[in-house]
Amino acid sequence: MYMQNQLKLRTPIDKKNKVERLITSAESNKILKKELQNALKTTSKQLDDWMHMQKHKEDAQDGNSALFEFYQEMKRVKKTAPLYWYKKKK
Amino acid sequence: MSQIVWPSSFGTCLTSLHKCSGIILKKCKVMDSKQAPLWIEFQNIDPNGANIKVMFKVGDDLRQDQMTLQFLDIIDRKSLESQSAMDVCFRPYRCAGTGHEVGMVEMVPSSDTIARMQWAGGGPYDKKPLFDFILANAKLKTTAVLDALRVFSRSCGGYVVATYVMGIGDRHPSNIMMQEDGHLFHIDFGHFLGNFKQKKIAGIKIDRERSPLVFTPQMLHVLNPTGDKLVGKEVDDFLEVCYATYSLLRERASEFITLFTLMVTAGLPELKVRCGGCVCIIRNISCLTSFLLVSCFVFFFDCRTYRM
Repeated sequence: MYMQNQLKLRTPIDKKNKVERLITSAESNKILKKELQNALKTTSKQLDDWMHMQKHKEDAQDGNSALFEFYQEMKRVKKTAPLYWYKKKK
Repeated sequence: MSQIVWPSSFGTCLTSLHKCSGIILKKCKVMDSKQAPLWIEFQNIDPNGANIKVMFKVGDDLRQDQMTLQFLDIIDRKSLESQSAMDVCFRPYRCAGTGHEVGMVEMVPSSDTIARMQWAGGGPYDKKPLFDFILANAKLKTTAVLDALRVFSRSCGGYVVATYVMGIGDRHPSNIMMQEDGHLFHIDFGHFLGNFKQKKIAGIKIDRERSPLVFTPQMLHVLNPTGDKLVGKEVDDFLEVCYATYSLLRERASEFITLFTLMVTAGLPELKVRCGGCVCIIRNISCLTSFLLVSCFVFFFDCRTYRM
């Protein structure tokens, strides 16, 4: 039932006409895009991630070592990583 | 464990492709997790091959993970067969339940959790760690970065839709990982079909997942490093993968739903037929009544046959 609902196969039954119809691919894609946009707006996810981070901070060490070294290197050459690459690409 | 004499060649229960020659005790450890699983490294029989890393877990029903991973494997194969032929770049890791709440999980090489990337960066509010991880491993080489971005947009798009449709819960940054080549993947499928974890705040139970799909600003930053909106070439590629995967799942909905329905009798805690209280009781009563009627009929018919 949950999967059926998530796949957006049919519209909910119309109370007036008591009919349901199939949802087209274009319509379902629109719904999916809206869900993606809503997910980006959800601020509670970041708060939850922050709480998770605090809970496990003691066991974390410095995090990913390759990334940590990369940041150290960027700091040394006084560059900001993503923008540096993006400008270089252009 | 050091006293155990290991055979010269042995395998693991995950795949017959694993050929080990011993165990590297120095690298084995207890992992930081609720169930305290064991990280075990086996010596590869091939001297040039990498160590075989597995996780041994007690206390979790791994059948659910196994089922979800098989489902992901099917999506991966079907996506290549479909008309749009959109490779979602899934690489489901191997997982096997070896007993009641006991099992082994394959560790994916050259990968790390999003949480550890956030720790190295500026935390969950910093958008950059994922993109920086790609840049760091591609050593800022343009072709390598573009390849990684392509793998990322495909795997991320596929997983966004698959986890959305299957209702995978408990999606904190320690349960999402990325390989050095940009392949994003999810782990730990202990909660599915919308059975999201709940948190108790001031006596009120609140769903931990506020959004049915996992797409964070950090993922968007990889696809569009200069903006906050769903625009750009990489974003278009990502959306194309999302739409293709979603269409594939919708086209083959009955197949996928049947696969889940077949597992109902396995007794997985989160895979039970839900029915509204009274309706369920009425259904049970009607089942019992029909069973009694059929039994009476058979009994009566048998008696008549016996007499004849």
